[in-house]
Amino acid sequence: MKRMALILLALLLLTALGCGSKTPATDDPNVVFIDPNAVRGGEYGELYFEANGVRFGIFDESADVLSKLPAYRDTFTGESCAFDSADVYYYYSGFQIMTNEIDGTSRVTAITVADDTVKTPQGLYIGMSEAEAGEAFPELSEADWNLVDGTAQLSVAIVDGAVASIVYTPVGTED
Amino acid sequence: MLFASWAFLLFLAVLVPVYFLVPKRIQWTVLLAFNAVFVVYAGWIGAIFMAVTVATVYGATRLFDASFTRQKETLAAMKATHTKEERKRARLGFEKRRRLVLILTLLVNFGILFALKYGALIGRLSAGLFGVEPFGQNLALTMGISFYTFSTVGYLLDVYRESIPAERNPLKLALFTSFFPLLVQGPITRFETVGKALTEAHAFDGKRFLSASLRIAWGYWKKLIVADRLLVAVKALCARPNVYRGDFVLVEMLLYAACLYADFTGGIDITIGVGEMLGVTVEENFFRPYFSKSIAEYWRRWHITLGEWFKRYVYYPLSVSKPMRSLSKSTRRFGAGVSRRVPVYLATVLVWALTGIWHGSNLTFLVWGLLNGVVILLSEELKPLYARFHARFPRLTESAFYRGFTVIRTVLLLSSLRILDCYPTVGEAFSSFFSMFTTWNWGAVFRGGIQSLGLSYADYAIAFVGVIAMFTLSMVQRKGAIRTRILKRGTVFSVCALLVLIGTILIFGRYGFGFDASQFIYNRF
Amino acid sequence: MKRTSKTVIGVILACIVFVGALILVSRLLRPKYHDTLIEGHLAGEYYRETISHDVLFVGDCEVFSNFSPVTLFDEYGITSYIRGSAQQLVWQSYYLLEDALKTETPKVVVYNVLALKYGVPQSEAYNRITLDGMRWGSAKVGAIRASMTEDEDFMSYAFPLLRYHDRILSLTEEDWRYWLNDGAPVSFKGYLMRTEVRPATETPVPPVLKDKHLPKESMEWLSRMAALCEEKGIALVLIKSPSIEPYWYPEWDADVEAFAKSHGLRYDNMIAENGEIGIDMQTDTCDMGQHLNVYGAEKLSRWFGAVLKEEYGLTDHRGEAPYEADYAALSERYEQEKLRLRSEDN
Repeated sequence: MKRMALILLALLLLTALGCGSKTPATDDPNVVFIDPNAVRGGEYGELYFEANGVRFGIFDESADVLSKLPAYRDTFTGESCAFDSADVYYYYSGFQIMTNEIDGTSRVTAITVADDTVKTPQGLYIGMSEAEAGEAFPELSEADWNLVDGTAQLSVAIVDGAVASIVYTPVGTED
Repeated sequence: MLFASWAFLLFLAVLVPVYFLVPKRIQWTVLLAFNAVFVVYAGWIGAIFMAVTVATVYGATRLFDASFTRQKETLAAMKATHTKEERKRARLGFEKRRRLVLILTLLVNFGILFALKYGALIGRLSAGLFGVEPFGQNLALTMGISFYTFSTVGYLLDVYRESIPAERNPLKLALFTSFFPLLVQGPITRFETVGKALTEAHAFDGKRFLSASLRIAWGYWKKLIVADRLLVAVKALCARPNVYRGDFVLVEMLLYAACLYADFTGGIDITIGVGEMLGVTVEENFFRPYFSKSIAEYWRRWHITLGEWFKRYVYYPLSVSKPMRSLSKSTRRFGAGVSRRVPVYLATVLVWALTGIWHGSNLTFLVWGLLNGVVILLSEELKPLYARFHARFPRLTESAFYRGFTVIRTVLLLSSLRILDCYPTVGEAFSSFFSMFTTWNWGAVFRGGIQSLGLSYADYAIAFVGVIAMFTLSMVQRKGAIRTRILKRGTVFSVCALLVLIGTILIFGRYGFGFDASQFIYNRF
Repeated sequence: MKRTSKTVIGVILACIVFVGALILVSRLLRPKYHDTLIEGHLAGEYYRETISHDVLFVGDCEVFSNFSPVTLFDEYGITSYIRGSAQQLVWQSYYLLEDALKTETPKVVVYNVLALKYGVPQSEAYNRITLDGMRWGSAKVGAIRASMTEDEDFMSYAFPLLRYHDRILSLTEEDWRYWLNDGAPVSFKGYLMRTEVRPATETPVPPVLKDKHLPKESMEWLSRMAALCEEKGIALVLIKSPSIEPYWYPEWDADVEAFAKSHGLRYDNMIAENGEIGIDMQTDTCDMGQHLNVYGAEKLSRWFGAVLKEEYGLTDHRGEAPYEADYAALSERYEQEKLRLRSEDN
């Protein structure tokens, strides 16, 4: 009995200390927690974006999207104090996309309309009146300007009766 | 309150000293008060349902008791003055009234259970069938209801059959119904044993305390080190039946077998250990189930109390009931074999359908239950064939090799059936199962496949060591209870064993921030 | 009787060995914050100080990256320490200050206001980085209670093994090296040096503010901080470090301005004052305008040191016995680190 216990203990220690393989970083506060099984690009329902004839959306693989879009104008890496993983932004004419590493793959985690030169596939643009936006996308206004479909969420901010910002993010993200 | 929570440990740490410090006379009332706290902590609604169960069962059993007494008195008084026929009529009158009370009580109690368990399903079904708004979607099972309803109804039926007298003190029935460790994941207990033991006075016994602590610690060990670890991979495998096919399904089956065993037996160890700590002996629910040589034997060794309950209160009464007897009679013309089999078959199928339904409201559980019944009946039918085989090859069938083969065969068979327990729909379960025979992808399993399930290789290694430990202890256990042997070596040795268990749980257990404080699998029933 | 006492002694011994082993394992498994996630080392390094300080900085990365106590001493003889950590929330700053005030009373406390934008606990990981290094006491208990996110529990702060036990599967050389000792400091009186130059470019579009004001919870903590300083006769200075990202909204600035006015505090929005300070986001930042590199930090410290000296009449401690020696050693290490990092950058 005693010998058995000793052997077991030794085995436990050996496996634990010997195979110091890395567990995935669970501490990273910058990655919005998404069930990895839910992360499947293209499951964003109606809430996709389209530019230069390229259709893409939340959780699409960044490499894929970047290769299809024309060259970005500039890029910016958001530092997160202490942790490695960071928000990487790519700027295009009229919009920007943010990407994050999720389970080792860089994916689109935000699409932000930057100015009034682009119109989203849902018919929204910055500066249009609240009434126009409601007409263009009634479901969105009914959802209090925060609509969820699949893994994506579309948030529109209305300031002084006009659309001030249009952002696509993963479901459950606060703006 | 889940076993693996600070709240539970704190609850226990307060209860145990208080229980043994108060005067013996009020010991059981103190325990009742603690049970009440436990139940109310879990939610007022659950407390109300439990109160309804206690009140109706208490009322019914007291009525039965009164009815039995009156029946005896009346029949005795009638003996001199009335004919046999009149006396029989009077007796039937009493029986009829008791049966009515019984049926009403059963309706209320199973009604609550049924509504909570299947309300949402029925709501969805009627929405689909009649186009009404789906109702009952936010009904949730209250803690332990499947377990305590069965235990208490068992008591009701025992009194109804005059096997035991009715308890006069409703608080004692309440104590039995609400005994907190049983509310987490059973087992289903009997009033004449546990109910009685709960109300008796118990003195503190250091040795028993140590022994109980060992059992509780071992329960946590199995749950936190093995079950909660493997559950991560099992969940991942079942969540994507389209991706994890072929050999992944076999991996899933084996991991789930280990996971469920560790989880359920671990939980029961904690329950029985807590009972033991308080001096109350709770029925064993397992007897090394994975060493069974057939599914029928497995079901006599796994979740024993549930099987016993169905046997005692459904299977036996049903097989000897009037309709069954007449059915048997009416099929006599098809031969003795048929007429003997009909009641047995019907009762078996019904019991297994009920067992399936008890486990869950999905269709998968019903199919799972029925398949268990089919396998058991099939092996019953094949018995003569096996007997011939055994007679023909006595050397082979008596060998350790053959015994090992039957054990592995049983584990694989029951794991195959359990696939239904994991996947959301029957279709997915069957398609996953058959993909094992059409898709050969061990390469994918070991080239990173099992690492994509949320566990690292080190996690698998730890779980593997845990499984080996459980297996080894089961083997050693055959020669006598392990705890007795540890305790025999003295207090210091036992304390060391306890500390080693606690230490390894603290280090290798899966708990705390970042881990889903997953419930015991059987907690949802 | 003899057997009983032998048993008792045996059990006690077993328990002592058990607790001892747990302490050792716990120390092995806690993150060391020495080679990786070094921000976690900051909170604990404060307790190694042997001298007192005239100025205490509290706040988030915008203090520990942007001010250099070595420069403040070299240029003005100002003794200072930075009690800052990654995403240090306002209540954490409050409690770290309270903790420091138990052993010293500085003349000035400088608080960087960026973290006021968070009114509720944010992330367990950042909580740990800030709180793990704190010494036990009422301040730490308060800080933990105020910081816990929904899924956290106090027990795992009290017994870190409960939190870090799963690290047994990912131990590194760092863990073994700093198992029983904390190693050399990673900071220079709370300052974390960075020497890379990564010029600022275009910054992301700031999201439209839903709520125009800073959360009232954080403003309440700021009031408590102001009250604490007033009680001890310490001057509280509010600052917003120069940066171009994260975006500092004018609405927030107005809130802080109003707070400072109503409490009679000095508030420096160094983004607005940059004309005077002269931070060049092409050369003085290590990450495109989010944090300053050592050149920026020294530049900012020179400017701010002059302000502090003039406004609060701080004593020049240069040449004074304990301070001079303390800073001489620090300064040497500081210059060496600068050279080392520079050679790494190239």
